[in-house]
Amino acid sequence: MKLKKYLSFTKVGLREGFQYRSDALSGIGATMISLVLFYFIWKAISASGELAQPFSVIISYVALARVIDNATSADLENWIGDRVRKGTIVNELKKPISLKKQLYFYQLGKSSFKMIVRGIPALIIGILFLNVGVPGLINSFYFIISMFLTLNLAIFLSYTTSMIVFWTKVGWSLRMTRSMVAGLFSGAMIPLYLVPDNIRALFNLTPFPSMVDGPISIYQGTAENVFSVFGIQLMWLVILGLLSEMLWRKAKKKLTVQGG
Amino acid sequence: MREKVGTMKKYVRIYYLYFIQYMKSRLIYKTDFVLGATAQLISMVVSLAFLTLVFTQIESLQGWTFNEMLFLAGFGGTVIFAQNVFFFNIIRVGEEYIIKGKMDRFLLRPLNPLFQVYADDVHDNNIPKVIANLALIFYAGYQIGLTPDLLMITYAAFSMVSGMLVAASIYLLFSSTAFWTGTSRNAVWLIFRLSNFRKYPIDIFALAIQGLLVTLVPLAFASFFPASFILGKEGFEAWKLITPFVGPVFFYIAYRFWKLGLSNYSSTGS
Amino acid sequence: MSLIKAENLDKTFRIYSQGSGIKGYLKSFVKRDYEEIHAVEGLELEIDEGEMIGYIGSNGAGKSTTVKMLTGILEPSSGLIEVDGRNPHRERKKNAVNIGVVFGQKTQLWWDLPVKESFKLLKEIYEVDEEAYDERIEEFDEVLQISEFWEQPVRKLSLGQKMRCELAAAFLHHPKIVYLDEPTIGLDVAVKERIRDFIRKMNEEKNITVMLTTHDIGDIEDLCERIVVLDEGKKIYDGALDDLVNRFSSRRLVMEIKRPEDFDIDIDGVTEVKRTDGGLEVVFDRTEISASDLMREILDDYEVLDFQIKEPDIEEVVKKVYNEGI
Repeated sequence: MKLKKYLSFTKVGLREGFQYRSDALSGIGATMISLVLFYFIWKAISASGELAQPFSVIISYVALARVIDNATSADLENWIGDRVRKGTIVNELKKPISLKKQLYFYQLGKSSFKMIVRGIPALIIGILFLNVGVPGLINSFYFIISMFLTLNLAIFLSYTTSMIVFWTKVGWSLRMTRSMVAGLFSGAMIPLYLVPDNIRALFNLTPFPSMVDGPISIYQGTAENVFSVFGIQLMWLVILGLLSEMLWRKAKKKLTVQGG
Repeated sequence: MREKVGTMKKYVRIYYLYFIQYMKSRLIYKTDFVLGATAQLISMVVSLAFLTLVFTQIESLQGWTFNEMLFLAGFGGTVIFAQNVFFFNIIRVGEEYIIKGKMDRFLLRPLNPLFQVYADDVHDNNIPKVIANLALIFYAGYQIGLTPDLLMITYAAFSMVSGMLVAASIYLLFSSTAFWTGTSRNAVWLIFRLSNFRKYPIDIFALAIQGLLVTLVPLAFASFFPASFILGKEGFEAWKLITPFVGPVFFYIAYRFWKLGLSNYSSTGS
Repeated sequence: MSLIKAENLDKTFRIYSQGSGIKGYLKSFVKRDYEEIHAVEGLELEIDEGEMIGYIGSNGAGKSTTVKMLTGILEPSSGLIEVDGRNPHRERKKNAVNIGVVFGQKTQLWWDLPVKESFKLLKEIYEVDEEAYDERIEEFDEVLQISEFWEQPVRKLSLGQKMRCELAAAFLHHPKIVYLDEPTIGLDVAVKERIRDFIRKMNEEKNITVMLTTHDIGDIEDLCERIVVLDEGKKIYDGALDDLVNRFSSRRLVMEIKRPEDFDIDIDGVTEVKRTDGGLEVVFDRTEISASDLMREILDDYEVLDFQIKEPDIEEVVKKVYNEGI
């Protein structure tokens, strides 16, 4: 059955995670470092002025943001960049499987691994030390749905930027730009309720807030309407889906003209 | 003695040859350069945006004003990115040189292998960042009303050079783990995360972390201490005085570790 | 006094295993199993200045490990090793000035640079003076003809062109010893000949000692009088090529006959008759019976449709030597 075929890509993604134990260890290390860094930065910021929320609330937001980011980050730009540069991308296209679906399931595997190895430890630390708290049963359920939507958004977003790689041939600079901008706009660096309203409105023109701030608001119970959060996430999913499809058609045309 | 001078001259000549060759081939990869430089400048902008947003909520951070924070960021940034131009290539030692066997080739030549790694690639896409961070220093300095005198300028120059060696030593230390693990990519990932600590006054961190920032990851010497001295901030006086001199010491330590790794590589042949 | 000396040389590696399946992966996170591999065991080797020897053995026999130890890249586990009076690992840089190395596919040239720039760098690194440099490049050009692509970047060269450059680069500084690892692999006959001519010339005219590792029997027959055979880390033969071939060669007669099921011969010197897809393979010892005599006997009794005499390859000789010992 077709699904089984696609799930084999998920297995590949998972296996890659296990294969490199030093990668996994330093992934956890990197997460710890970020948590520590933000802990002290926000502690100092809170001590230096009157903020909308006390430190304990802010740090739980930031910690949760890190958990979400870790569990959902996708990096397809390098995968595609490598193959475009070496010219082997044509081989991927010759396969009787849609590249998009292939990458989706592959990233699903990789992200699942990340969720287990990095997301969950970070969540545990957050709950134990950083006041992250545990939501009620219903909110937990909604949170999981929102996380799943964020995961999809992350994959779609990465996939969309990856399409640009067909022109630029280098993946890392695009990925860096994307993750830096996402980091700021999504709430991962600074809780969005601390951002002045007009600037926050600007951020909301992008999918990033819905990826981190959205799920956090569900988890912490500060969301006005859970379903409007879902709605915004789904809207961006559709937009990114269309955008990536459009870019993909252009990229395919470019490939066939060039002769791969 | 004369032999040592002769050897130094030879290394300089060879580095120069590598350098112009690199510059010539650089013209082929223009897009890479532009994209890389742009991505890095954008990340700098994001970083500054974060600081700006934070300062919409507070007046000062641990006693440092917004402009002083800019100065701190600019100083540390100049040091690290200037160092990157010449010493960044070490982070590829695992993936590019050990795994692909190029390290063997380096060992076959009558030339120091570390030198060959450094010389093999110049990371000039950091130059825009160096310029941007220098601009930040001047802008912030002007806003604060800094009046540079000879002492300040001399101190700044020496501590920048020392800071570059400190930064280089951190990269070298962490990258050398590749001799044991086969990969330098992960150690480097950790450094990138850690280097964000340089943008903040170290007294916001717990003592244990401050200890780390002057020993294993001595970034404090590359940004905080010199900036603190120049801005006339109080505290850490002794540390600030030794800052212009610690660079070579840290680099020497990292170099010994590199040699340890190299001898391990020669016995396990991985 | 030998130029290269190895006494009781040993090199042992540890290979760690990864573990398979989920259980294996998890276990390998904590502790990894390893096995010890004796890449080189008790090697005794003496090479005099000006010699050109072939160093052969099947893959994994320990050839590259030996070369890596002789060139200073790898440190021996135990034993004595001396190259031009020095320990190559401990005095790596001083030893490096005296050697040139060609490592099959791994290049010593700079990928993105034109050939001439690579050579300029090498000239600087090995401190070759201007005059000598110009002389030698011209000299090399006569045999290798590298001036054809002098200005081209190395990555654009064909395999044959690249290999010619590698050889020139290895000999540029007239080192005392040159180690060649598979220098003719993948090349066509014309290029192979040119390369062999060059190596021979360097060895004969400049007295440069050459240690050649190769699978190509043509290389060996053309260049080396003395060969050393390695198998599973141990030296199993050290002497003249002729002796080795004479002692352990067998020839094979491959043929197609009308009725292979009827084939039954009893001739002195035939050691084995194999039945293959296409026909028959008769293995014989040519010191006991010549190919022509054998053919005559077979032609008398059978209708032969097609035949071919196959020469032994190095691998077969090595395998044979190993199985039967010295």
